[in-house]
Amino acid sequence: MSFRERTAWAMGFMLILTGGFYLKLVMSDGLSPSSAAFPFVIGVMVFSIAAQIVLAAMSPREASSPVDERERLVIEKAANFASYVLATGVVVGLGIFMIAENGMQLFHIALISLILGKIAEYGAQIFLLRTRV
Amino acid sequence: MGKQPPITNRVRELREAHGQLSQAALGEAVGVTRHTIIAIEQNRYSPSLETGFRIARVFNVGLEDVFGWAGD
Repeated sequence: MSFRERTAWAMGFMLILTGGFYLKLVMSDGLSPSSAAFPFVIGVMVFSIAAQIVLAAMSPREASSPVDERERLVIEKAANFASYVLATGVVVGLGIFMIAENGMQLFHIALISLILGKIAEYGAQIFLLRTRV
Repeated sequence: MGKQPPITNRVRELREAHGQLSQAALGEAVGVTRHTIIAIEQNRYSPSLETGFRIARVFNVGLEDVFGWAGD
């Protein structure tokens, strides 16, 4: 498994865990956007830095090398796919806002769309790295 | 993704003919990762023209000795 794929797995899992934590704070504990987003952002930062350090220590040579032409193509295609997930979430959120006029709900939907978009991006990277680009 | 590409290649064959040149060494010589060389050999990725020329130069052959067209 390449360094890029390991990174995508790690970041994808990290976002599933922290995103799940955010959902728990919002849905079970009923926290406001600022109260729920703060621990989520801190969690993402800590886990991301820790994952990058561990992955770089496991394969320092690959970690320091720039992305090559195939990896760049994979990253671009995955980002393009993720943009549709994010856009769909934002449009759904805006539609719900027009009906419910609940700004807090719009914030949650936008943030969850962002999380889902990033998860989709890493998932697409893994898929494209394993199949034909 | 999907159907096989019309571009074929003899990278693995040439690599083995050149003293078992490793995928990592070839990748380093042409500026791509070992995994990209694997993808090229397995026909999962068609390299750019520049990388194609770089691969051909490593083996001291012409571009068409490395890559072929299997389409219509």
